Amino acid sequence: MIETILMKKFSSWKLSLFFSFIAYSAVLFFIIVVDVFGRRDFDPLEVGLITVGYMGAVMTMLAIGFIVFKKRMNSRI
Amino acid sequence: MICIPAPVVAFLFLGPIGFGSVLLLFILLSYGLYRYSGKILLKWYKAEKVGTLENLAKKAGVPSLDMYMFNHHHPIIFTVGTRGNFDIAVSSGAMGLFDASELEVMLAREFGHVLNDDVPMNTIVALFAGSLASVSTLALWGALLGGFGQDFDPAPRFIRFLGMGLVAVPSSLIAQLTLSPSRELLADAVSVELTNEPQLLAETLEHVQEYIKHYPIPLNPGHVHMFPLNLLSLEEFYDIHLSLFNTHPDMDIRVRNILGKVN
Repeated sequence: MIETILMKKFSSWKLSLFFSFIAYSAVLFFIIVVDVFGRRDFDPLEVGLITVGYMGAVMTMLAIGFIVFKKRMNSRI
Repeated sequence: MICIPAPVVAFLFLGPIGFGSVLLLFILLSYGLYRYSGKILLKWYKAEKVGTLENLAKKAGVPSLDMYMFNHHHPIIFTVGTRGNFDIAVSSGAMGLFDASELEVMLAREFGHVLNDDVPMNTIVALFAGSLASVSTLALWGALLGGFGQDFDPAPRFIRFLGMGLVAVPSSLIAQLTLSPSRELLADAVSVELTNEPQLLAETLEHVQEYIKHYPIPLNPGHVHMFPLNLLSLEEFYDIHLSLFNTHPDMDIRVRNILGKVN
């Protein structure tokens, strides 16, 4: 049901990028869990650095993807 | 790309000797992948050599190409190879669906790719993008073997969807940034020049597109740019990542372009 609404409202490549972001966020959560369990301590600075570094790389890739796919999908020869 | 950071990391941990050996290893690996990427892809599809294409090669003015066949229900034809050694692979589905003249126009398109020098880039991209995209299949198998249910159950499909979410963007970016949709129009034009059958080529392409709509089969999305048209179909929500892999021009434009050659 919700899938149909999403697919009607947004183009599939935008949805794909959004769910890629969700998938990468899930991996970040897993990395943080492993880090916290490994150290047996929650170090906010370290977790913050991991999050900023990881999300920076992910957002850069998704931003490049957004520009490329927008150009390609909207202007098919 | 990996050739640059890997030796730097090796230098930080192992010093100059580590840097040199890792750099040499990556150069050898890159050369091996470049040289054998075509053969790796043919092995991927378990294709077997069945003969050579001489008549079309003579018409196109290129050395004769080896023809390979593999089992697949979809009508798939693609050309692989680097360094001037190219091979054409044809699926059993294509042999069943096309008659002799349809097969000829489709094979002539592949010679178009050879003449336009698209094949080495297509092959390298297929190897890297295809390998990345197959991670989602590994995720599915992991879910199945991990006891999450059968392949049609929601949990394994969702795990595959997440896996595809991780690899779809980098994998499709490799294809989108390195390949131009115009290469297909140029290959169509060469096919028309070689066979003088624009109507047949247009009809065959449209026929294949209709066929795909009725008989969708999962394919490795990282390989789809090598095929004559986009064979991926978005059947359900879990397939949305496949939309990123379309590097082909729209069929209407292709048909207009093909028929425009005679009108």
